[in-house]
Amino acid sequence: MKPTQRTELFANIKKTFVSFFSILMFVALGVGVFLGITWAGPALENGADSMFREGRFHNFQVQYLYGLTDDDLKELGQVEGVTNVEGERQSFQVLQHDGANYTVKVQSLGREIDVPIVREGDLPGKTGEIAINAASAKNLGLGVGDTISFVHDADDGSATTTLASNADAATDSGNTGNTSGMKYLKSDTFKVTAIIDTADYAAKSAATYGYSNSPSGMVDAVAWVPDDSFDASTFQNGFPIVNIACDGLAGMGTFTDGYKNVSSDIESRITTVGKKLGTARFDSLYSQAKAKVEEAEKQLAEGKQKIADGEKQLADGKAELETRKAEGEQKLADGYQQLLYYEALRAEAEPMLAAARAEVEEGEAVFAQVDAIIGGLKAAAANASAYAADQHQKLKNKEITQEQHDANLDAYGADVTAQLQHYADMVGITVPAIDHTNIDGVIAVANAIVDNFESFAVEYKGEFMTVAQARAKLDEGRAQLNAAQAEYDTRVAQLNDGWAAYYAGQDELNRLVAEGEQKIADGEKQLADAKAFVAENEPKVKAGREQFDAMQETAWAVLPRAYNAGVAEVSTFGGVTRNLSFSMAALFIIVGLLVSYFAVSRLVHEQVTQIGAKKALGFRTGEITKSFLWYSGIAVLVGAIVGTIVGYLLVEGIIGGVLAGMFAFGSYPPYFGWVLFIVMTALELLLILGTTFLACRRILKQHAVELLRGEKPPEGKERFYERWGIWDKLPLFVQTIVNNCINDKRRMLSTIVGVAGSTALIVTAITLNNDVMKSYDYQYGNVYGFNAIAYVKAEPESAGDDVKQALKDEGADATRVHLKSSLLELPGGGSSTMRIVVPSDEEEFDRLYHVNSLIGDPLDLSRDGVWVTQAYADHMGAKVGDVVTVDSGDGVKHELPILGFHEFWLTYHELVMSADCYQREFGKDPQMNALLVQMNGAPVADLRAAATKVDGFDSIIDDADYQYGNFATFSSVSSAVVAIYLVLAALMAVVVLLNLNVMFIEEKKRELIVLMINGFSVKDAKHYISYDSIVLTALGIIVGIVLGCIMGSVTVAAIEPSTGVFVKSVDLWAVIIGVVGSAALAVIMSVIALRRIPKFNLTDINKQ
Amino acid sequence: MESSALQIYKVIGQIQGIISNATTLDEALQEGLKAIVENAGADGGAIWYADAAGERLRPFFWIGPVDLTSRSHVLGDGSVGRVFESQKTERLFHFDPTQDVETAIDFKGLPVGSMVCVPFSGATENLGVIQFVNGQDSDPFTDEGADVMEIMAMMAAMALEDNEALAEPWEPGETVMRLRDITREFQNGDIITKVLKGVNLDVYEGEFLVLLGESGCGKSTLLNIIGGMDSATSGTFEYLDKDLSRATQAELTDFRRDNIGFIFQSYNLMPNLTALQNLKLIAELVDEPMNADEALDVVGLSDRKRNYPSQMSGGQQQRVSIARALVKKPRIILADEPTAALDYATSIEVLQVMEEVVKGGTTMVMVTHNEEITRMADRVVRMRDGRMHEVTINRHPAHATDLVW
Repeated sequence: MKPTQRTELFANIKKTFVSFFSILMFVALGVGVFLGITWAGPALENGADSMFREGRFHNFQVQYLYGLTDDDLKELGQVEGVTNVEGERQSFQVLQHDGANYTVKVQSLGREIDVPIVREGDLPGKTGEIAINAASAKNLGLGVGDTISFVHDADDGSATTTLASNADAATDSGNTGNTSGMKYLKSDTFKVTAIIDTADYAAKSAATYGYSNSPSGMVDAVAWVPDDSFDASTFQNGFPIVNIACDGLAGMGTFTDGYKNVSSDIESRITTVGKKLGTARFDSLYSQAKAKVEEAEKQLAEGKQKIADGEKQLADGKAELETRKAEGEQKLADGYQQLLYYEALRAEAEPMLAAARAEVEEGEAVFAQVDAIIGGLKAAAANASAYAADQHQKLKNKEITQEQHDANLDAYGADVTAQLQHYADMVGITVPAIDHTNIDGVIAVANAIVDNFESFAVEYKGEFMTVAQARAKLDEGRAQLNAAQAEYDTRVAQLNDGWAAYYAGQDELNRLVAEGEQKIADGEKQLADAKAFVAENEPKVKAGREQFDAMQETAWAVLPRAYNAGVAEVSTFGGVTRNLSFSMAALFIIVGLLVSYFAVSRLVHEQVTQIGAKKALGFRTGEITKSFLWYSGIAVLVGAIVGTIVGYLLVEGIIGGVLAGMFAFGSYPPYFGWVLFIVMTALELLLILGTTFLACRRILKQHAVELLRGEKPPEGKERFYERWGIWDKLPLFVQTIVNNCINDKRRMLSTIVGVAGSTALIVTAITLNNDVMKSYDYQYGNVYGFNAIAYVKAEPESAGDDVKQALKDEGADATRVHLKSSLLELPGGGSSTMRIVVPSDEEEFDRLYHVNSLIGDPLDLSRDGVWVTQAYADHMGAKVGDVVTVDSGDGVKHELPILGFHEFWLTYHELVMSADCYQREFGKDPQMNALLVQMNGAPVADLRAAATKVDGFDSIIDDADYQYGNFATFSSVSSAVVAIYLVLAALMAVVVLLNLNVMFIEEKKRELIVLMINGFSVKDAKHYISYDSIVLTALGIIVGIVLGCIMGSVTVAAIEPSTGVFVKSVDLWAVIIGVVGSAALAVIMSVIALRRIPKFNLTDINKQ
Repeated sequence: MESSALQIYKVIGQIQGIISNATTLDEALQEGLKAIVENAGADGGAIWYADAAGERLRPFFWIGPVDLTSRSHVLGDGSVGRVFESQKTERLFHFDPTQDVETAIDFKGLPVGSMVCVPFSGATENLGVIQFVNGQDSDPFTDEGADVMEIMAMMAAMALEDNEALAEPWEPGETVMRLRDITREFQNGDIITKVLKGVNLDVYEGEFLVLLGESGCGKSTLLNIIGGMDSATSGTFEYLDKDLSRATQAELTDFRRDNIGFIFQSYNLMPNLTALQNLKLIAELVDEPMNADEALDVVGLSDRKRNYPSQMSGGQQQRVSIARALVKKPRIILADEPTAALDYATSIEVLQVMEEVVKGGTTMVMVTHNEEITRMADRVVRMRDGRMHEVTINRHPAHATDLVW
């Protein structure tokens, strides 16, 4: 391009900057939206890969029902392409926390593969220490330093007898995958030492943790312990899971085709090795299991024999006890009679002894008095004698006078006289008065009396005798009494001994009887225990036998990374963003092309005279065309760069911000890809330049002389409708609007497209957002009549009905079902989580689960087959009559015929079948392990509290609330896109509508001035313009609503995961918001543009 | 004025030539007046005719930035009345407006510094007065100049026949518009362009007024102000005694809506509307419009009413444009170069329609470059350099069909 032509080009750009900017803007929007949303996928994948590298994420995982041995691991390590192999154990534990039970998947820590990424704390190094997944820790409110205890399950690890152990051994033989219960871990209490993430749990959602063999089948949290915290023997010294690393895949992006190709080759080789090793392992375990089961059965038979022997021994013992008891009781009765006889004799002797004793005691009393008198006399005499001697000594010592001496003795004598007289009176003697004169004599007399007292005669028992004789008589009586008393005492002692012997015999008999009875009771208890034990373990042994009989050789499940739930989630969202980008970019590219066409077309029409002049001056058509192509080309290139920057920084930022919250690797850098950028830019360039060429071709084909005459006014001609009678009856403004629109197709189309685009974006955005959440409403309105699920254990058998009754007592409605998650094999390869539902009561089930068959036959539980969710038909192309292949979790595949596809809006598959069908297909009765519960407004906590009182209750979850969380997560991504859509809608409205309005007003300026000169007020002139705009806006809105509804459905379909479908509806709110939003934007843009009209200078009419 | 005799004779000779070539007295006097004003460097001049009764003198042609149209003098009143009565030239080289208010009023807008009034007569009677005026900013007239003026009047009178002079003078209708000292300036950056420099003009009911002038003389600007499309920078603009000088846009809109019809050079029809719809669009603005079909009938386009502008010739479009102006039954129709884009035959067709419209009593103000069209007008205002340069009252308006160019 020559310098002056370049100058003119930039002058044109400057002069027509609004048009130039319109092209630039739409290219930027198209490129920005497409690249931004498209790159959001690779950016997410790169973010994930970054974590995979840091966490040395396994390239393959081998899962095998019977486990892999160390030898297997060694051989696996020799497979071409395999660099490292590491076994992993896992166990599902029940954690009681904050009043609820949580199923925790406990895994062994990876050493070189799936190594932990420590977020907080230090990795557990010994038994009793544990690391928790960061998202799980957050959900459970656990942190470093907390202590957690896993609850023993009564069904696991509590049987201790040989019989039961053997039966358990038979049951668990070789099944290293069924690892629920405490017996697999050496400790039940753990201290949380670290919060970690690992690459195999890149997605935060608990739905990606897999499923357990708990009644609910769910896994609520993931934790890791050192490998030696597991009891390896319970795993039959095998690893249920083996992680494999391949250096050849280390440098490749997980989501690239190159990775998939190389991975596929290695997978084939591992599968081949797996077939050989799997068979060997199976054969080994099969023979071990066979021996254990047979041993268990043998011991069970022996136990039964022992019980029979014990029963006989017990009966003999009971009979002997009864005989001995009767004999003892007879002997006691005889002894008792003898004792009673001797008691009677004792009773007769006792009064006689008492009388004799009284008589002796009477005599002893008399002699006691006599002895007292004698004692008193002796004392009085002794005292008097002592006193007199004292007085005499005092007189002699002249301490007292004679008179005093005499007086004292007289006084004392008087007292002594009185005392003696007292005693003398007892024996009838008169004592002479005692004074100083006779005191010494009296004392002698008194002594003499006393000395002769024994010789005094006294009357004793009617006879007179001396005191001494009486004393002898008394002594004789006393001796007789003592002899009788001794005889009596001897006899009484003998009687007491008799009684004691009697009571001892009685006690002995009782003891012996009790002892016998105790022995019998003990025997009975032992017998009952033995019977109970046999009863308890016989089914286990039987089940062990059945399981053993059912043991089938299964293959290794060789799972490449794509099978990892986190990887799948990354792929899903990557796919969603890619699909969104195409539907979005298409709209912007189409609108952008129209805008470009009209902008260039207008530019060409404005410059028609100049073009004519150029032609006249010798410019070739090609040269003139080139300037317009440059014009558009520069707009495209600048727009593409701006768009790329917007897409890279803004669009990717918004989507990445939302997605980052869903994955453990958090925020990640945006992605830029040169190839796509160049392709997109080239495509835009090609399209816009093509459009530009089309826009200017007609004008440029004209001759210079024609062009120099200036632009021809729009051609008017009578339209067909003007011949209709009704036309003339229409108000003039209606006719004007119609003709204006018809005659100015360019404006009509561009306005309609602009408004329609804006409306469509709004409708699409709101539809996208609402339809995702509407799917949730449909599921819990049309399909699920329940909103909670309760799980019960297998034992006791009454648990299900008891829980159901407990829930009903709380006002809830419930029905028992078999509800089990399994793997559904997909027709195109791979598998998907699926849930089997088997009703127990058809009537109740109909009330709480509406199987609305959309394709095929309505639900008929008498038929042999399954009803599958509609997504399976939609995404897998399945039809009625096909079969679905279900892996029931034990590695065995079951093929079930499809009878119909039913309405279902959740993001997994669900199969409904009858119990009979289940029994036929799976060879066993379905365990009704769950209850579908309609809470009827009762809080789940109340229901849980009521059900917890029932033995056998496991858990209850608010299913509606749980699923709402999943939908809300998904919706958060769509909300980010909605936000982008709405911003873009506003931008589109601003760019297109404002530009069009301004252009239209400018084009109509002359007409408007003429009208204003003729008396139109500014208001009239605005109305004159606005009528057209209103009609075109209305048309655009109508088109936009139709387009938006279609795009909404397409977009919703684009973001559907492969396992589910979303509602695709004409969303009334989306339509209303679309209408109001677009109308508001159109009005705002119109009002802004109409502000030009009052500024019109009427005298411009004179300008040509 | 050149003082030399040679110059005087040259002027007299020029006047003699003009008069002898003139076909009418009006032409002779106008051209002669122009020659004298031009040669004398006068600011203005006016030719006054006595009416048939000889009782009043009315102007029919004048040069200068004043509008004398509505002025008249009885005998002895003002300088003109005095000269006609006395038949003697008045040489007022130092005019004192305070002493002669009546005369001063004639030239309101042009402060008179000196004046010469010359009587002219026919063969049998006195016909009128020729008045020469210089502003206070110009040099006063001299006796030599006054002599030439008298000679010119005498020669013109002698050269013409009586009956021409006796023609009935034009009687203006009610004044519907009055513009006084109208100026209009446009600013473009630092440069201020004064397009109108003080226009004094009245528009009379029912007249066909033509504004004539070279490009850039201000005639379109004046038309814009008359049409309420633009406002004067200074001066007053009255419509039926209502001052619109400072009217708001809304007031001007109402003024245009109720009173004015426009005819544009480039028709400016709504391209998306048929002829009839174009009329109806405007007719709906007023309470009692003319029937649109009738309006089209007036312009002879009843059979094209369903045609779109692009389906009609330029003349037809312009006739629709006229019908559009008529349909509101406006008091005044303003036409800006209505025939400029048309060929001769089509122009005559359009002018015929306009002639009929004026006959119907509608006031018409037309801007044109075409001198020939001025023959149709009742009054012709020539503009020069932002001022009214000369005004001619056409005592013998021609029919459109008589025009030739």
